[in-house]
Amino acid sequence: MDVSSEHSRATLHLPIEKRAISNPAILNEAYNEATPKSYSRGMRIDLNGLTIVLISGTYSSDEHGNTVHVGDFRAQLRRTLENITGLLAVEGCTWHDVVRTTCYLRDMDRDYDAFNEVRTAFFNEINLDPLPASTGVEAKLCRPDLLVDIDAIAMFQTKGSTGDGNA
Amino acid sequence: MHNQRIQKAGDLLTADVNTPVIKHATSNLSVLNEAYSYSKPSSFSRGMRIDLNNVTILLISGTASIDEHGNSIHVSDFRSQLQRTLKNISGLLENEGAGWRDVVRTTCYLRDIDRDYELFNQVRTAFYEQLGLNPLPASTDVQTKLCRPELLVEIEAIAMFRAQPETAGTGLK
Repeated sequence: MDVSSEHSRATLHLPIEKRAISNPAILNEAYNEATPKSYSRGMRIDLNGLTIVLISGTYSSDEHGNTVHVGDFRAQLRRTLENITGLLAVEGCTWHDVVRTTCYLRDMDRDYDAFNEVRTAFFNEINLDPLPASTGVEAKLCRPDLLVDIDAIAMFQTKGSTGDGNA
Repeated sequence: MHNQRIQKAGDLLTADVNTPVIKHATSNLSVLNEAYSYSKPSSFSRGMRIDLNNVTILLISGTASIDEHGNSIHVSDFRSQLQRTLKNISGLLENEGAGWRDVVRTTCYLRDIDRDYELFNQVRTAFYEQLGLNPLPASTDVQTKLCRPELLVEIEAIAMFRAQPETAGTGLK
């Protein structure tokens, strides 16, 4: 399990510029739970003028790490979307920068209609266009009381780029 | 404003001639066989390396407790399966000159998350702490059935780093 033993190709290996994302005002750190969960709430990656934000699987959990809205799918989804909004905001971006989501529902047959109503209403409220690419599937989640979990990828340009393709 | 910007970028893109990115499949036969070599070939690479101007991206396929002969190992032993899975990913990363410090994202699939998530977190945390990993990768952890009934855990990963051709005579920066 030695990770640095061999460089099979004649290249210099340099790390990229990256840092963990958190917003403890709305969502605790997964590492701080009784059994630490070793992941960040998100990762920000800065490439030359392009920033990529990878949001971890996010769910209806509060600043103390407690599941909120147990048994209420719509409220859990709202809180999940708000938690993602909060993580994006810390990095100076918004849902308008999200290019992809993966959405995991605990019970797809029961909840997918409600999921789409709430997601559509939320995206309409913020006039999201174009809509992100997305995959929606059924999966059991990391806590038995969670009904929905969403991860996301956002991208935006920094460094005074005008986005006109001349970078 | 936002939409206009994207529209404009899209117009420019369509005027360009598409060329393939530089990429190659990655493997590490000392820890993990090729999925295509199974009696019924599974047509995926163990990973894909993509070299862009400023960054190299490694997409590590869903990786499980499989050995160099393609056999599931540590059947019914969640802890050992997870350790082998992590070792296999280490091997794939190493083959491209990378390591867990370059991993920015994982997706972790457990066969029985209610039963095994506690142990999963203990083993993953111990492994990352042994490496001194910081920052921790982003991750999504969910339950799914996996491609073989005896597999209890599977992890896919994205790593990013900068790879620059080594020039003769110049050392590390």
